[in-house]
Amino acid sequence: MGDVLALERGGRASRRRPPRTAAESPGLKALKALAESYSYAAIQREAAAGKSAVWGGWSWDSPLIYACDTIPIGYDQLWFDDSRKSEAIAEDHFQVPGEFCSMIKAMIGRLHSDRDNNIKRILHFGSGCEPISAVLELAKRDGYDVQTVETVTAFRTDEKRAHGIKLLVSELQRIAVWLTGKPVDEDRVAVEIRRKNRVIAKVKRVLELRARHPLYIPGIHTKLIFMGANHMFGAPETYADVLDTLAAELEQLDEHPLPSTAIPLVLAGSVGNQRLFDAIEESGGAIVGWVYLGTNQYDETLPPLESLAHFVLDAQGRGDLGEAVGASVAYRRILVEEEVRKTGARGIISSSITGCPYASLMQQLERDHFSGVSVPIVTLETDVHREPPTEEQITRVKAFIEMLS
Amino acid sequence: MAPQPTTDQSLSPALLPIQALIEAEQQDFIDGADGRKRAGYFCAYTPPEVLNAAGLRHARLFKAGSPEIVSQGERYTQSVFCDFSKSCIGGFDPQGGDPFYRSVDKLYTFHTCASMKRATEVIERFVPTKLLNLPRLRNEPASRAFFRDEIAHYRDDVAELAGRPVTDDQVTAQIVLYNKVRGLIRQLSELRKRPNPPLTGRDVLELVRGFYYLPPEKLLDVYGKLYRKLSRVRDNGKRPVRLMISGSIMADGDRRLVELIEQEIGARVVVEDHCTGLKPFAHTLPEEGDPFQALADGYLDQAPCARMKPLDDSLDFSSRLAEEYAVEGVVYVYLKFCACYGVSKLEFIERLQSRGVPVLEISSDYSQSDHGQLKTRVEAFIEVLQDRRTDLALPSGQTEEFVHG
Ligand code: SF4
Ligand code: SF4
Repeated sequence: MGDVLALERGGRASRRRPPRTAAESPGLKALKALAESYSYAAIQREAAAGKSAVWGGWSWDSPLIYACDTIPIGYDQLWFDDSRKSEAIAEDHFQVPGEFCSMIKAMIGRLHSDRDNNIKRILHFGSGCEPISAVLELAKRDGYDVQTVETVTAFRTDEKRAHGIKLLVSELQRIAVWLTGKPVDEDRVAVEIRRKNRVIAKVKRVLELRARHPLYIPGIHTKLIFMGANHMFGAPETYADVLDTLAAELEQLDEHPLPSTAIPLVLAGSVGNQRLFDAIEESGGAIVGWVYLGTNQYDETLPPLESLAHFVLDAQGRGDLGEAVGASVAYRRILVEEEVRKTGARGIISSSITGCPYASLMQQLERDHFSGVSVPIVTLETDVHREPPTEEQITRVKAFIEMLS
Repeated sequence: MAPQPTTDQSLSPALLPIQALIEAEQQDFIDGADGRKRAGYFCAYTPPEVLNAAGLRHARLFKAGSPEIVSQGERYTQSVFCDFSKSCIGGFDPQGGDPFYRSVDKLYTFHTCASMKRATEVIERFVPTKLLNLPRLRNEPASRAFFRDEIAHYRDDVAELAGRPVTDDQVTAQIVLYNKVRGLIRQLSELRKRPNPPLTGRDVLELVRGFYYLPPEKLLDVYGKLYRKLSRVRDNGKRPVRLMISGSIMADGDRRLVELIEQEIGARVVVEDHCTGLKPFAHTLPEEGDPFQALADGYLDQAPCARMKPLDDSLDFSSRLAEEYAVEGVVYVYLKFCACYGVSKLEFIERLQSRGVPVLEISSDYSQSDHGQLKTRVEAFIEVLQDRRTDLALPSGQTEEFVHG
């Protein structure tokens, strides 16, 4: 997948006159193409051709997975299409009760319908969401080899215990043996950590530039940038090039303030649907800050596996990798508050998946807090299906933005 | 003055003195006249041995079952949490919580399911709280070593709360003491292997309640006396239909299903495969060597909650218990939104059915509104079991008299 795009390296695009509108942006086109190359079908093709691939391992642990010459696949590919059908399989075949979220149902349903495909290994982190942990047990019925990285959590930012680091290091060693049949090459992990750090630095730069030109990179593309900060779409170098191109485009834009009619907003969480982004943009909303996945760096001075362990335990406390790592619900609102302060946003859109206990509580804490400090907030719940959002959701978003104008 | 026996009609008279002791103990706990610090915990994976070694007053907090306390919890959560976790929050609510919960000086939560972790993140706003790690991989040596260190960390925190050191010898002595108490609960439970058990399922829930509220020294005395008394009761030959209840936690206060089965329908719960029945008492802890490793091994080797991996261990335990107690049917109850038991219900149900045990599945909450429907379903299930018994035992067309009450 690394060669799907033939971009000029090192930000050379920046020397050309930048496109006036995002629609003409080579960076955004390249980003979209890269995201499409990381599709379920494309990865399946690579797996069929003998490339090692695994469900999971796309988050804090991705440097290890790349060091094991394996493509980590984000679970989101499991609900990218056919999600309704998958959900029905979960409820009928696996009898997953109706009250659970569409995410776990789409996951297990899709794993079931694709049980004869080549990717039969699933990597899972035990500190994350309980429904995922439970549903992956059901995948074993279809012959999946599910490996769990033991549950280790730093419950507060200052509570990283030495024995937790030690266990995670030994877990990562175990996972490497599972993936490759041999002990991990720590030097390779160090190389991958440095590479990921370089990519994260570029993501951070693009997001900072985007905050100055919030209308240039639309919401749906910004989401892809965040996703790439985790798994790099299976092609780290290509992704780095895309980011360079985007940064160069943004750097060339004239500095001008947001139109006075635009309503600056902070988005907390992910909005998966184009129509919702459209609704925000059509009503004059501008997402000037987005709290989703963090852009923090791995510590390169530590032994590589320890560095991964520290990274994930820090992320749990900071709340920036979400439920995938079992982040504390109490912290996202702190990041949101910082973002509101930094950007001068006039309101917050807080989003979650319907039926997600983790996100619902986090939203509740945000709602309570921001109502107390008089920052307007609207909470949205969506599912993982790609159908258009309901009229009611769109109306809520529009009404919220109108109320702020 | 000795506590006066209560008059609870749902309990056998022999259990009333224990109920009276529990009530007196709870009042003392609230009053706190002895000046000792009070610790609370939620989960059966929390070793009370350490709390007792430190001289703390302690109790498992599993009072729930009323819609009122659920709605207290709903002030902080949305509906997607199980009613038990909502009740845990509700119990600590500064406005209108439970005085027993509110009198706790510190809460210890071993991270069992993600919902309880989330609940604790809310509760820590109301009471000092310590979250601790609980491994999932019960058969991995690294996880056991990690859990040992986590329990030693818990000991340090407990010692600080108690204001005195906790020595290894003190912990070992408590392991020995608690093993005796667990042994007595097993012995008492085994009386239910008789065709007409001298104690009901409702009685055993009261014994378990005693375990979590009363000091072990007192328990040895009262359980010992009770055992001597009940073991002399003649088996009068009646043979109520024998059931096992399996699934999610059955809170202290959530008695409606057991009372319906035993008092309204006349069948008998002879064993519980849930963490507030017999399940946590099926195992004896090692009494030699490092006491923290003994606690780690002992608690990981106890009958596993469905959140542990591999799930097969839980399924095996469930079917072994059903066989050992010669149950004729299983009522599998999971709380709505309980990922551990809701998502994996198919695995439990199919495993039991494959052993020839019929299963009735019930999805439950604390709303109390579905009594009629519940009764109809349980009655129909018991009728099926009665018919099976007739078919199996009386091929020659004789009739059999069944016990209803
Ligand atoms: S939506 Fe929430 S509960 Fe559902 S799988 Fe995702 S993190 Fe877990
Ligand atoms: S009922 Fe299930 S989800 Fe709820 S607290 Fe218990 S184990 Fe956790």
